[in-house]
Amino acid sequence: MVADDFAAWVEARGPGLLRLAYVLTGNSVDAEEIVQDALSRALPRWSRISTVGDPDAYVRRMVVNAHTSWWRKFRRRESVMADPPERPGTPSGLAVEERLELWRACLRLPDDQRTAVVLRYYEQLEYAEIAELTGVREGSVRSRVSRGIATLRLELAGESETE
Amino acid sequence: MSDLETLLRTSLEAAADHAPNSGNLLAGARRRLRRRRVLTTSAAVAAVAMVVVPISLALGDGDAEGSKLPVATDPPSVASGWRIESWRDIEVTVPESWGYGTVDQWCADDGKSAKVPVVDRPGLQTEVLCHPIFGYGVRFVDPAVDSDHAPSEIWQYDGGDGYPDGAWLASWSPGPSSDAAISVVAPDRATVQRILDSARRITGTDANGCPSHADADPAAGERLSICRYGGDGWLQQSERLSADDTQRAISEIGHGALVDGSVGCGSSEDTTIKLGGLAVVTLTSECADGNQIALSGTLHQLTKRDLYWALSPGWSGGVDRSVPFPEHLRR
Repeated sequence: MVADDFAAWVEARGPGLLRLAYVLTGNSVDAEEIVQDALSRALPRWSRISTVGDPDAYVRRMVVNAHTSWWRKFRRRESVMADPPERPGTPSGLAVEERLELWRACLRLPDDQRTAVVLRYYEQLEYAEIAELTGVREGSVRSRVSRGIATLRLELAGESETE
Repeated sequence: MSDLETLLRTSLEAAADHAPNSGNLLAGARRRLRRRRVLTTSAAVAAVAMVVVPISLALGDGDAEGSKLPVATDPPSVASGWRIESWRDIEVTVPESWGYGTVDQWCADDGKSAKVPVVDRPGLQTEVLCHPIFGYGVRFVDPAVDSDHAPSEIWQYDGGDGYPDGAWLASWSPGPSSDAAISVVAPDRATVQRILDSARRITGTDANGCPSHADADPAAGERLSICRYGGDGWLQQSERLSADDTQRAISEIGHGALVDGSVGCGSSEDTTIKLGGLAVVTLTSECADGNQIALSGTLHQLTKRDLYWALSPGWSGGVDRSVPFPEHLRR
């Protein structure tokens, strides 16, 4: 049954989609928002989507699309993104601090650069795959990633100098 | 992979550990689906409040005789078969046959509209996933959130999942610090070229008589300018009615019951629609009881005919079901 199949798929893949959405948006509320949005669009088409070659990639694309639409529609309301709370047992020290600083800097990137950086380094997609996913030229993807990395490098260097 | 790239990957993976629990996903998705179906059926969301009327115009009760807008020179006409489309402070002309929508929803009706390019303004939600992702049309973009639209040469897409095979593309913006840009995708190079040639920054008013910002008033003329502004004050869409429609609009709007006092609500999310110097309508999600139209210094209950004239073809907003929404929008 389609509904059961979809429920099982969401149970298995939902956490991964939420993780991707969280690194795209930077906060839990918006992450949940865009994944629910994408799933609500996938549900009525599930019988078709589930028969395509890679439904995981298909829905992941929907999440990225939902994120793109979401930032266009709601960016005026966007709230400042908070640092992720430290969890018990999280190791402390310079590496953790550096990681957090990099995460904060990543959240400050323009949306299109952040999306490209996340897809490249979190999802570990090839440039051509990101181009296909986001509908821009591969050269533009490379440019966005490159500009994003350059900005992150500068920001980290700036932080180091002020310490 | 450099040290920074390795650290970035680790950082993103660590951040992802803080993603929310997935327990509510399925229920939330189903709830959204039900809600969207209700909204689609009733064609509605928010509420309509009203604002003031910078008008020197006398409107009779349904009597168009004597209801004349101040006469002034109309802006330059647009070539036959083409129409003006504006967003923020830029305007372009597009073929009259082009519709409205989002360029990534060309397959939404089983591909029936695949060959009809659209004018796409920010704010519309993507409903379906098409292959290729984008169809033909002009997309207005905000360079602050989509920085890939520096002016580009016209180029032809050489295959892939992004655009139709052989599509011609180009981007344009009026300058490096501009607040708006366009991305054009068309089946032929000549159309892209003509659209690019028509693109310009709005100074004063656009060819439909609408200023780029809500602070200024629309141009006066024998034809009514309908100017829609977002909560940030930027122009979202403009239209200029024909002379006949202008007279019909004048005779049909503002016949709702008079309302005492001011609405007293409003928010930064308001959508303001100016009907020339005649009336101003504000749509807001925070004033469910404020469905009114301000006209000649007085507030009236909003009617379906008011909204019929205030909402231009391609209107992409939503109204609460309490709003007297017309059965059909103008096309």
